[in-house]
Amino acid sequence: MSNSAEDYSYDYEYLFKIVLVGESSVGKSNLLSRFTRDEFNIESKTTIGVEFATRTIEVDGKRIKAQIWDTAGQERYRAVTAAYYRGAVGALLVYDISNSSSYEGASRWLSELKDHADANIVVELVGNKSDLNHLRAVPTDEAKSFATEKGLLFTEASALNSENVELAFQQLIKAIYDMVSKHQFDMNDYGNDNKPITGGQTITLTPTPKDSKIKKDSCC
Amino acid sequence: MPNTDNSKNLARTSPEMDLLSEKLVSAMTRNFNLETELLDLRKNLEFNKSKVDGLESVKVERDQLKERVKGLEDNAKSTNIELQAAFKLKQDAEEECVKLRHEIEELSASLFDEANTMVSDARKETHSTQIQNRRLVLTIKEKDDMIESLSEELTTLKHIIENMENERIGRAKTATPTLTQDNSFASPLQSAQEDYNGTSYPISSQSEIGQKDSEKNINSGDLPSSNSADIFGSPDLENYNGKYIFSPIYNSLRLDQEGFQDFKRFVTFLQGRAVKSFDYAAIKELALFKKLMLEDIEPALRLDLAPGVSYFNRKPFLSAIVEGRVVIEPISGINEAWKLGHQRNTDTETKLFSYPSDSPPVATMEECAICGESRNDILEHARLYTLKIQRRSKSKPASASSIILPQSIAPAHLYQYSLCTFCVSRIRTICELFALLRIINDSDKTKIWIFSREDVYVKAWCEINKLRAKIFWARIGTWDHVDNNRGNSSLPLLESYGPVTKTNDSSSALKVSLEIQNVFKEALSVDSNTDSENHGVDLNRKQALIGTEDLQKVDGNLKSSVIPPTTTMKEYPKQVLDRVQQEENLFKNDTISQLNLGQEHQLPDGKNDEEVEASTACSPKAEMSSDNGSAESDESYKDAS
Repeated sequence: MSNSAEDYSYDYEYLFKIVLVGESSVGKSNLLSRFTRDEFNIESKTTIGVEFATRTIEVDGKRIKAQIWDTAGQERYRAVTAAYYRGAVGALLVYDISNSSSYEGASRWLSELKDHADANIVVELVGNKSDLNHLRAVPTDEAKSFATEKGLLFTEASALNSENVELAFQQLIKAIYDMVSKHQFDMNDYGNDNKPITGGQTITLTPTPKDSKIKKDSCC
Repeated sequence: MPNTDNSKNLARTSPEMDLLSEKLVSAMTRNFNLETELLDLRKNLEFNKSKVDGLESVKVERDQLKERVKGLEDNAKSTNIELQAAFKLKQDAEEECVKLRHEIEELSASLFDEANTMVSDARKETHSTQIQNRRLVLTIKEKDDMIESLSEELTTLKHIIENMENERIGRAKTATPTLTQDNSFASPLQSAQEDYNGTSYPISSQSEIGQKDSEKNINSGDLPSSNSADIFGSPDLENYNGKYIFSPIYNSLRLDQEGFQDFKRFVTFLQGRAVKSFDYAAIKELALFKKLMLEDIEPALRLDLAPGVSYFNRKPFLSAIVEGRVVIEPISGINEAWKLGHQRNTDTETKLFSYPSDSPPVATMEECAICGESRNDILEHARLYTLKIQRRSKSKPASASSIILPQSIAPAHLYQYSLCTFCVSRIRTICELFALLRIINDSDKTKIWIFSREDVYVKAWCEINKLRAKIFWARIGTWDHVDNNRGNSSLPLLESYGPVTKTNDSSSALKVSLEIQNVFKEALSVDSNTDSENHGVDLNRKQALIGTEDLQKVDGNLKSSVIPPTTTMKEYPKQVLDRVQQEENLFKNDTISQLNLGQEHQLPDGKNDEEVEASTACSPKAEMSSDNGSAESDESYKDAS
């Protein structure tokens, strides 16, 4: 029994679902691939639908598995919204520091998060492409004060030279972890996914995915 | 006689004497014996007396002892009673103990029973759980298989969608070029009309399509503007060489020149180093670097002519550019909203920038550090940007700026220069070249350029030359819109340009909100186009120069007829309205879609002019991405004047 559970690598204590949002071509997919696989595709195409990847990191000695969802920034390729945000405990709101309209889009994405995601979701504003300092269109200070104003975490990162990518994700995951460990999160709303996996709970884990599956079916 | 008598007496007394003496002796002996006996007895008596004395004390003692014995006896008696009581208690306890022992036995027996049942229950449960678990694992495996197959299917579908998209783009692309190829040399105008009249103007699809497609769109957007009087319009340029001026499409690249070999040596040198930092000092003697400096960078940068960069700061300036310690940013992010081709988000929140979202662009009075521009007439002349040189830090400079602590940034800047929009574009092209070289240098870490095969060198060299070409064109006075050569899909939709934003009169003490007389000027601007690397930007520059003179005249007019500042679109100055009308008339000949487009252009323009009157600040906004707007407006201006 325990063997088969290990086959499914429950060797983590928390599972956080994190979504990447932001205007198209700000580098969401490359941030994800840089963080999860240390890859960067200079010729990456626009994301169609949803992609996701996972990576397990350690925070305060606890193994936390981050399941990061990446969706198309482009309206026409965004098939799922409600399902995309369901259960998400963190969001990286990405903009491109060399593209002002992607930054202005941030407020739209914030309201989208407000509409679709849980109220307690931890949001981090990430100015991607920080290697393009010479093409900067969004001054750091302004973005930072916007983030402060909206109560968001803030980082500038570059998926291209991998600067601060790790930091951006770790900072978010740490914030979520702090929140969860303080029990500010009513985890029951999210099924058991976020609960620490303890011995006997393996059995109760299954109903939740099933439930959500049913929901999915009905809404699609 | 005495004798005889004596003798006779003697004779008679002797025996008697004897007897008597005998008697005496025996008496004496008896006396002695008696006396001895007496002494003995006395001694005895004495002894006994003392003995009796001793016995007396013994007797006393004995009495005492007797008493004590009595006491002890009493004691013993009571103890005995106690003992009996204790014995009784003990018996009771023993009885109880036996009872308890019984009880315990009973209890443990029942406990065992219970435990046994529990164990058996648990075993049963475990067993069922195991079964369930096995089933679940099987289910998960099944689901995994399903997910795998589905995601495979998904990837295939995504590929199909991509291919469809590409095909569509390809079709769209081939459609126009054929037209232009057929007609452009003879009559670009006609080809444009044809293109345009052909049913749908593919605006809606534009944003998703790659850069090239939008180039095409924008180009076709330009075409209707062409008019007989429009000698500066890009269609005429196209007529001139039948091509976009600034083409990103390269068909050949010379690899036999020394430059390519230099580049390969350059890469080998970079890769071979132990310390991978990209230092100016470390690479300045390399052949490739020298060549780039001499042929491309120096002529384009002309630091020797820069009034704002002192002699001693030139080298640090250059090395900062080389090492990527340069931040070129607008004074406020709000400035970007005034760029051509900027897509304004309608729900922009005020808190995004340090200025209100409807604020005019923020510039500084300081002259441009590179070209000395000090005019405040149009946006391109205004110093909307600052170039900050960061300190050389142990960590990478960029990371210093992006660390979360708010204070950590300000002190990181050594020098700060104000730049006009033209110089920004020029310096940015240079920075881009070095950014590429730095990425190549960091290839171990970034894993983007891996020089394992010859074609990677060629590819990289091609990229470098593309950027060199950009530097060249920027030096000539032509460039693409830098923001858009990355992230093609972020191209804004043409149709969403329209909305006019209000301006208010806010201007800060230091930073002067520009007086921008009108959008036309802007349309002439550098920012020419959303994306097109191949736009008639060269032309625009000319237009800009020529346009300004005209405009200044117009401005004079406008300013003399002072009209109270208003924010409604109704109250445009008459002249402006007239002009708008004219332009609209021009459009009426075109298809409806054109008309709409045109109006979108015009509205902001009119608005702008009105803002000019307000004379504090005006809002060019809604800059059309197409040159179309600029060309037309320019032309109509000419007509007017």
